[in-house]
Amino acid sequence: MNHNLQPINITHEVDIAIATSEARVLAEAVGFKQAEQYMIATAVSELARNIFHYAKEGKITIKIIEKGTQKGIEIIAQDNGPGIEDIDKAMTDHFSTGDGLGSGLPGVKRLMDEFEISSDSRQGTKVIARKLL
Amino acid sequence: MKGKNYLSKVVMNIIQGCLVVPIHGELYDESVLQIQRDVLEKIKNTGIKKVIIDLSGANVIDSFLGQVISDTVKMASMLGATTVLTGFKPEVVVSLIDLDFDFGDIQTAITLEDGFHKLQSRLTDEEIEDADDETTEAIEELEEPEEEEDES
Ligand SMILES: Nc1ncnc2c1ncn2[C@@H]1O[C@H](COP(=O)(O)OP(=O)(O)O)[C@@H](O)[C@H]1O
Ligand SMILES: [Mg+2]
Repeated sequence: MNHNLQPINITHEVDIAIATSEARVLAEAVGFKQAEQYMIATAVSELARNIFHYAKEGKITIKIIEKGTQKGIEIIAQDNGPGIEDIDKAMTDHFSTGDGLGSGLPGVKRLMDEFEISSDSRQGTKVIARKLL
Repeated sequence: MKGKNYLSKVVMNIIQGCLVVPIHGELYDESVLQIQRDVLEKIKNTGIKKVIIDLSGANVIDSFLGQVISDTVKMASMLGATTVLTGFKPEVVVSLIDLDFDFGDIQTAITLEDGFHKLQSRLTDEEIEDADDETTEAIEELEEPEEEEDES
């Protein structure tokens, strides 16, 4: 059984729920405990929601990774949207250009073990987040 | 709204004098906000004083859903109704803390039965504090094993 998933296109709101459920299934397959499966699924929900809200469309790729003997999950959230003007601000709790809580991105960073973000107005936004077993 | 219309009405029941609102798996912004409006309207129209929002069927509670739910609890309280959120498994609480979610004085319970119990036994302030302690204990239990992993 191949547990690596095809990229999930986020174009409709329903895709947020699809990506979230798939993340959970994959996290369980890798062997994450229930609380960690839930953290990974929550991170995917936040990233997919950001794509849907701010970029309108994009994609989420969820992969099983191996670092030495350690297994884990990698989430890549990518879009060609307007980009984030000030990443430092966006990574601060309670900063939102919408009417959100503003803790999605900093929350994903806390929920996962590794976090990378790059963004500009021409290429859109890319977030890579990993959690290891 | 873009895409197909996935709006579905939540079936709310009044059980033992409590308005029970079950939140199910796949939720969309618009349907969550619709549930909020429906709950508030029901409270206004029936004068009901006790509400249970059962989140056990929710896929995940992310910052968006968390915010709408907590707003609903605050608005319900302005209308004179006390709300207990049920279906709060410990892992949900842990993730919400990572999302810097402020519980404020929102009451939670793990099972629907506990939720009923909390509402039916007319909460005193002390009981509310006890309930908070329970949640804190559940969180501490969950966080401890993680700390051990960090050291290894
Ligand atoms: N994919 C994205 N494209 C463009 N801007 C984004 C994206 N993701 C996040 N942002 C920006 O970063 C801010 C913070 O995001 P987040 O922490 O998820 O909080 P919230 O979504 O509640 O505003 C958003 O308000 C938005 O301005
Ligand atoms: Mg967000």
